[in-house]
Parts: sequence; C-alpha cells; structure tokens
Amino acid sequence: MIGVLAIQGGFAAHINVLRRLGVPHREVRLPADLAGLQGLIIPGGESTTMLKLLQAFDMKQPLQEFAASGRPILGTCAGAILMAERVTHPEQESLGWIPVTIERNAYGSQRESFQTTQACEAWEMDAFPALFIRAPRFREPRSEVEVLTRLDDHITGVRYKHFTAITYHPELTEDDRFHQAWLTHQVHGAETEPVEQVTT
Amino acid sequence: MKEVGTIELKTGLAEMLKGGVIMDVVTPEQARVAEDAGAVAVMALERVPADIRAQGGVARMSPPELVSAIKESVSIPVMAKCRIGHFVEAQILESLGVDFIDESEVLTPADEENHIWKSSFKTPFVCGATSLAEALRRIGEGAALMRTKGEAGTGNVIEAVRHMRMINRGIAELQSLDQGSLMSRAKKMGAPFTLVQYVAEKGKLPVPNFAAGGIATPADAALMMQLGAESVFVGSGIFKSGDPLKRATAIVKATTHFKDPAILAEVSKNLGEAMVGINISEIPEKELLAGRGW
Repeated sequence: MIGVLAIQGGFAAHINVLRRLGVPHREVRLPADLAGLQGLIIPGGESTTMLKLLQAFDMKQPLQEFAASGRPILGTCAGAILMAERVTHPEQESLGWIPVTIERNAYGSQRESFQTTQACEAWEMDAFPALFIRAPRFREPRSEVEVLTRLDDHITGVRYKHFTAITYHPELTEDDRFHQAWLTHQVHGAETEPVEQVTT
Repeated sequence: MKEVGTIELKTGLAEMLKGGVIMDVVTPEQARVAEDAGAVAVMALERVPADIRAQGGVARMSPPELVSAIKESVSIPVMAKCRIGHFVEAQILESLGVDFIDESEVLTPADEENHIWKSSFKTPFVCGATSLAEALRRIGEGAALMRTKGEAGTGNVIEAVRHMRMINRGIAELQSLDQGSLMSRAKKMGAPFTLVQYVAEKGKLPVPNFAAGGIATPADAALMMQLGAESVFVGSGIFKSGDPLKRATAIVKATTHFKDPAILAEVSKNLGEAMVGINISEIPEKELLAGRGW
C-alpha cells in the first residue's frame, strides 16, 4: 500500500498513476492514514499551504517518524521543497530530509512553465516527458546526494537514502515509467523483482 | 526541446491548486494575510464583488500597479480578472506575468457575443459556468479550469450549489446516452461535439472544476467540495467578515478535511461575524451577475 499525501495539491494525478499501475493506494490527510504504508508520495501544490496544514493537524511528527522508519518517500515539486534541508526564495521551514538547497519558483511564473523530457541513467530510463510548473531548482547538494536527473546544468532530480525528489511532474502525463522505476528501485529495493510484489 | 503554454501545462497548474482555497484580495497586505492563512493562490482585484455590487458602475481589470504590488508581496500564484471578451485586458495581465487569468462575469462584460479565444495565450484561463454546455463552450475556447459562477458578492451559496448540481446532472445524463445520441445532444446543448464525447466516455470535465460565488463559511466550502468541487474560490466572504485571518484559516482547513464533520465543527467555532449576505430573490434581475456570458 502506497500513501499519497492529500492535504492539498496534485494528489489526484499521482493516484491515477498508481491506479493505472495496479498499485494499492490510500489518501493521507491525518496521522492515522500513515499506518501500514510501504511508501509515501508527497505531491506538488503549494508548499506554504501544505506546511501550515501539516502543522495545524499535528502531522509533522508522524511524518518525521515515518521518514525515520526508512520507508521510501517520493516528492514532486512542492513535495521536493518540503523534503530539502534548506529552502530559499523566500526562505521557509521544511521537513529537512535531503541535504540539498532548493530555490522556489526558480524559472519564473506560470508564463515561463515548460515541458520537456528527462532521462535517468541510474534507473536506465531514456527520454520521458516532464512538466516543469512554476518549478523549483536544486542547488548545492552535499556529496552523498545522488543526482538522478538534470536539465542543462540544473539538477532536477535527487536521491538520498530512501528519499527521492524531483522538481517536475511525470504524473501529469500518460507515461508511467518514472513511478514504475521508483516502485522498482526504491520501494521494492531489489531491481530484478516485479513491482507486483510490493503491493501484497 | 522546451515547449511553453501547452494545455497540459495550463491544466497542470490547475491540478496543483486542487484541495485548496483561492482568495480575493485588494491590497498586498490582504494578500499576505491570505498566504498566512494557507491560500493556494490569490485573486488580485481592485474591489471585491460585494463592493462592485454595492457601488455599481463599470467594473474593469485591476490597475497594473496593484496587480504587480500583490505579485511582489507573495510567493503563491497570483490570478487576476479581465472582462468577458476583453482580450486586450487579458494581454496586459499576461504581460504582467499573472499565473492565471479569470475571464469573469463579476466585471462588466466587454463583448456580448464573444468570449476570449483563450487557446492563443500562454497564461491559463479560468472561466465561470452555470451548466455543462456553458463549461464545454469555454473549454472549447481554451479554458484550463472551470468554476461555478454562483452569485458573487452575496455570501449566499445557493447559486453555486445550483450550478454545481447542473453540471453534475449534465455529466450523468451524457453518460447515460448511447453513442448514436451524442451528436444530436451536442447540437441541442450548443457544445463542441468532441468535448461532449469526452464527457460521455470519462464521466468528468476534461479540466478541473472548482466552486465559486457566495462561499462565506467553512461549511459552505465543504459543501461545495462534497458536491464534487476540487477547490474553492472565496471572494468577499473573507475580507468582508469580522476576523479575516481566522475565517480564512478555517476555510482552508475545511477544504482539506471536507469529509470530516468533527473537524468541520471544530474549525467553525468562534469565527466572529460572517459577511451579512443577500437573498438572491431580493436582487433585481438585471443586477444578477451569473447571467453575464453564455
């Protein structure tokens, strides 16, 4: 069972992907919803809104405990902002899981949003579609952070221990390979075994 | 290769606003209150709908310096309204870098025949609708997000409820039809055939659908969410109330936890005075806003 944080934002799109992949899933709004999950997705949306609601409904501590348990977490866009250790433009607090800085709205406003493709060598994926929507940008990763994807000289995807974070949205396309790869490599861990075993 | 202004990017931003509250603001200070309360976006306006209604006259796009000042003051997306059919106001708002343009019946329409051809803009548009056919016409013109019209500036949710139910009923009816009946239904509706086909097959609009118009309390917001809205716009309801920050925060919480009556009860406590509100039947018909546009 994979949880999708449904406090605000693009949770419906992630749920659609999990449904297409046949993966059992659950919306997470309150601490009790985290019980029994094997992994968690934090969607895009407004990171300021999510932080306030996490605080208001006592979700921060349960999420920290979930993270400390070593279960895999994937963050996209605002999710990546919550997961980074330091946030700029403007500075704001975060859950602080990945030793990297992230700059909010690094490409400008919606007029400057764009779609392109990304490739991920570590997960043996060639060009897959990626939407950058008022996207943030990673900066200054510490050496133990692995870079998963890049756009020109910008870091767009990182992996650190059981945490994966990307600044773009593969879930807004019909191409489910990124989620499939995350399930295979991060949730299940063993690269040769099929995803189905994750869900039992 | 990088592409900009695609419909996927436009509806993608609308997806990111789901489960959230978009608040009308008239000053940078109000914008910061909205952001502090947890708004997912603000709508930059010169006057909230309740004041437009009270003061009368021609209501136009907000002054550019106000839109820019509000944009400077927050990190969340900023929307702004232009008049129905006034594509030059829309061009100006796009050049200011607003994140969403609302082609809105709250302002005085500039064209009684045509809405804006929205597909030619890079900036996404949200439009109001009172029925499924109207929603599909706006989507046909390139709208990336729909909302109910409701009756703005009244603090009375009845029209938003009516419009949401009309859209839901329209979707259910299309789903019940066989393929052979869809063309004649599209003709009767006056809606683009391919969009009628899409709705009949998928059982939903091709873009997100939010609620707007007359939402004044956390319970109003949750009502619209339970009726199928994916987010809510709150106009006059916040800054025309006794304690805007408290009420705004409560509406944000209610929108996330819209299915949880215990939380709704808790967040609805001690909010101070709600805006007074107007009964729709007391408004002269020519002053109703929802009939603007078609």
